[in-house]
Amino acid sequence: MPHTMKRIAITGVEQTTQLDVRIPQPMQNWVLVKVHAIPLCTEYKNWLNGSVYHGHEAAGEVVMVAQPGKVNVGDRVVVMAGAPCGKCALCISGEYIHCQHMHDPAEFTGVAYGGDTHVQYLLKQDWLLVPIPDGMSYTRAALACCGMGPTFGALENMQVSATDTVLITGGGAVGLGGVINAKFRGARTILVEQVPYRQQKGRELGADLVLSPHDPDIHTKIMAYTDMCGVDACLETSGNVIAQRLCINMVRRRGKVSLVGECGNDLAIQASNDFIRKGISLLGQWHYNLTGHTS
Amino acid sequence: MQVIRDSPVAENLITHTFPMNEIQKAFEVCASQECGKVMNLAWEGKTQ
Ligand SMILES: [Zn+2]
Ligand SMILES: [Zn+2]
Repeated sequence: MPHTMKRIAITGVEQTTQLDVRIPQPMQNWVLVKVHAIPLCTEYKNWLNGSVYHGHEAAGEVVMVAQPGKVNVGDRVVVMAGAPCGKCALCISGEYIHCQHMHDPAEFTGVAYGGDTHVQYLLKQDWLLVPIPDGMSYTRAALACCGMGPTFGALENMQVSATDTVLITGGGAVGLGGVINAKFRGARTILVEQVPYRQQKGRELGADLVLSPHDPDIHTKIMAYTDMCGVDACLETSGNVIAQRLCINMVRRRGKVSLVGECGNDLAIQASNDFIRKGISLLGQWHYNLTGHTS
Repeated sequence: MQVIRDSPVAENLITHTFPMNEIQKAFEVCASQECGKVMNLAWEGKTQ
């Protein structure tokens, strides 16, 4: 077992370096995972502005434990995000991502980079490691992080099925993962995305109708596609206020809208016309429920 | 994980894979928006 590993560090605007750092030691239920696949998420935004943030997604192999627990050395696992308490009602019910008592990983791991995933080894609580089916690659399994996890959770919550039409706004990795999840359920799927590469990718993954957000007839086209009723469910993954508004306008009466894309800007909503008359539900979704979906 | 295992197109969400020492290139691809999911591999490619 080596004592040091590589870790990636953002060092300035569009600058990175690789550092040799100490491999942290497992303790209590924090086990050592040798990282193989590191899916990239929003870290490029930090890279673009030079702020420090080093990841929350990974898949790898358990190589050392401090005590008997939920995983064994040699287990192949996907690493879930964060350092939730594991004891509160949210954690126990699988909604750990919303835990109000997040640990500071640095405190447990003894190193400042203890919560990072852009490393060759990391520590994680054993119950946040999801087993990888035999024969599945680390990269494919790692799609259970943000690639497909949040939209899976949202479609579960909205109980989307083959009789539904789903509107997905934003065709980044999360939105495209949403296309896969929605098509897997047999739902008709509309993707709204402006970048041609991502429009094409959406079609390849099974989107039935792909529209540009700049299409002046977008409302008419979506209504025509849904017998003038509007869509049954929406996955908003772009984090754009205009797209959030499009979802609320396009969802049918009694339909559901899940906000998945992070956004710090205000969205104006009107109680009467948006909510009461239409009877819609607006839901927030960060990840998927861990209970019952681990294998 | 069931969808990831059973969907015939799940793998196609991954459009780029880079070794860890090409993180600069990986971030450039992410920023270009000409990508789906971008993966880094922690043990491939020579480290600096
Ligand atoms: Zn908790
Ligand atoms: Zn992520």
